[in-house]
Amino acid sequence: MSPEMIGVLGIILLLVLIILRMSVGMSLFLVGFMGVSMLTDWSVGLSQLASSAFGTAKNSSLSVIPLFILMGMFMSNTGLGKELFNAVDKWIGHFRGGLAIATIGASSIFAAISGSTNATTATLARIAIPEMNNYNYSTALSTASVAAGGTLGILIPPSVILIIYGALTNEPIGKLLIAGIIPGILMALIFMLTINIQVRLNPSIAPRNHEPASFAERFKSLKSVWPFLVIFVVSIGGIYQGYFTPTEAGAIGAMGAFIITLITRRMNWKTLMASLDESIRLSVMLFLILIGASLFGKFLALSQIPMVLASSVASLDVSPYVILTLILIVYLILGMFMEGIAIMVLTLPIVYPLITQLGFDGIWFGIIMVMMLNIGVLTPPLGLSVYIISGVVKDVPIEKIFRGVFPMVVTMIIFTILLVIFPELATYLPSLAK
Amino acid sequence: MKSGSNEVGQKNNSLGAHAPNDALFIKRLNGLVYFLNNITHKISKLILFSLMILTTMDVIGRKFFNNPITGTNELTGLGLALIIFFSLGMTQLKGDHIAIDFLVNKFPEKIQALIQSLTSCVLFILLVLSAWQFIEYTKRLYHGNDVSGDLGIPMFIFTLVGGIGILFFALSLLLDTLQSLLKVVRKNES
Repeated sequence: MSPEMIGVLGIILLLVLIILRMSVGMSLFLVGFMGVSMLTDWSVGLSQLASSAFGTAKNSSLSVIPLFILMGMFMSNTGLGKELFNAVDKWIGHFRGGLAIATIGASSIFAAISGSTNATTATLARIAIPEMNNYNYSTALSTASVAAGGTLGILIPPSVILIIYGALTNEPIGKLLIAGIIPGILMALIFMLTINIQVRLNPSIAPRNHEPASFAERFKSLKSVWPFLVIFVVSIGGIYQGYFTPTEAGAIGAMGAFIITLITRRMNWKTLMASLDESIRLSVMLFLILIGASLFGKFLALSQIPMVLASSVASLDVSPYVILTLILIVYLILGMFMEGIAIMVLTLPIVYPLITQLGFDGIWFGIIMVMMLNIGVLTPPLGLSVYIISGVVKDVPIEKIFRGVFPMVVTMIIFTILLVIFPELATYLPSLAK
Repeated sequence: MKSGSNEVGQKNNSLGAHAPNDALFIKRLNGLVYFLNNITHKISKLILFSLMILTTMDVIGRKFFNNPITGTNELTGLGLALIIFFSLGMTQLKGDHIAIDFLVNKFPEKIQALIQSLTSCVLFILLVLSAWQFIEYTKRLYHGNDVSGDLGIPMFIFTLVGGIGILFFALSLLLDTLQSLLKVVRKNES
């Protein structure tokens, strides 16, 4: 059998195992082990079980993952999210669709200390949806604003997805994180605009009208926002200025969050233990996939499939944009059925060489990847964010939430097209970073 | 993604409710596996908290006192490895590892349990092989006198400890295999 044939069989076996509900990380690890063994020697495959796993686990630049997750856990487990939401509401809540717009605003600030869509969605769902229910907002709008806001979690740095993207492609993690800033802010503004337009067209979906809060009230509310801003400016600003590495930024951010929550008497032993516990389990879940992906990646490289595919596609006589469009359509479809990190580890070994061969920027594609995965968490049948929200608002049929989210998905597709036309939106800031 | 909320203790109770002998053995195994993984998971928490402090101190030392802590980068990497291998088992026990469930959940429960027991059994074997390879790796590092670059810490300590973590992870899959098999058998009886 040719190496390419073994590679194809490996990919098929991998899909079968995943469909049989074997965990994604272990499926990758198993198929990687079998593939490497068949393409070299069983003794090589066996020794890779230890050396590959240990090599991935002791990669000090990946320590950034648990540290950034810990920072977000400290902030969300200590109840700062609720105060943040109220503060943002004081500033922008008087616009049409104010509470929904405030949800996006609070999400984007929360996203600046959280690297995950799930955490951002879950936190805001519990805070913002009951508040919007009190004012008789339509559930389609309230749930959609939380779902949309949650996606900012991995666009605005820190971002677990961009860190893993960096780990899988060797693109610099610091620059990837910086690249998310402008698209993240723009996406938040466009979400707010979408909500505002929806409410203008149909005012009954957001019936609350209230006077703008006084400036005294507004400034008073800021005392719950400053911890978020200080931590963001120090950690992400530090990466931007080249003061420290992403891992150091993660440690300082987590330490800062710990100290702030401690001196404001929000932190206690139970919260500390719960935050450490959740951070470690989430990180280990991600690392099992990275360990599996590393061994699977070795197998794919030995099979030569990525190289063969990249060179044959590159020799096709069509515009790179046609190929890019096809790839993005495949991602839209995969996003309907699969979990984001799984999509990334399964496709990147093949897609990333292809994209760079076509002349696209690797950092820019990281942001495009985030957009595609974010669309995936909002589209049925498997839309993870929608499921998280539906866990909070149990009386709303899930189809209704999916329908409500649809305008947001359209907005995100349009924004992705803008990113393709104007790649500088993602590449400008990293090009300035030291 | 599976939710992380299914408590190990609850699984245990549902098993022990009828308490035939086979279930009693699995209940004891469950207790042991949980006990072992809980110890290593606690150590992970301590390491993560320490890494946060160590790295912060290093940056402060470097920026303000021109005096960084030697070997911080190395310790961060090795500490990370310990955290991962020490908590793989607990993450498995809490059902956190990502699996994609769009076909199997449509099968009858008995078939689901059968598939689960087979995949867990395969992974148990793979992990036992991995633990064995970690021991072999440890031997090579020990005989080669491999030490870390900055601090000169013997590397074999970390692969040995990693191997123990993998073994505890393997035990959690053995438990899963047996629990799933029990479900298959019990359905037959009823």
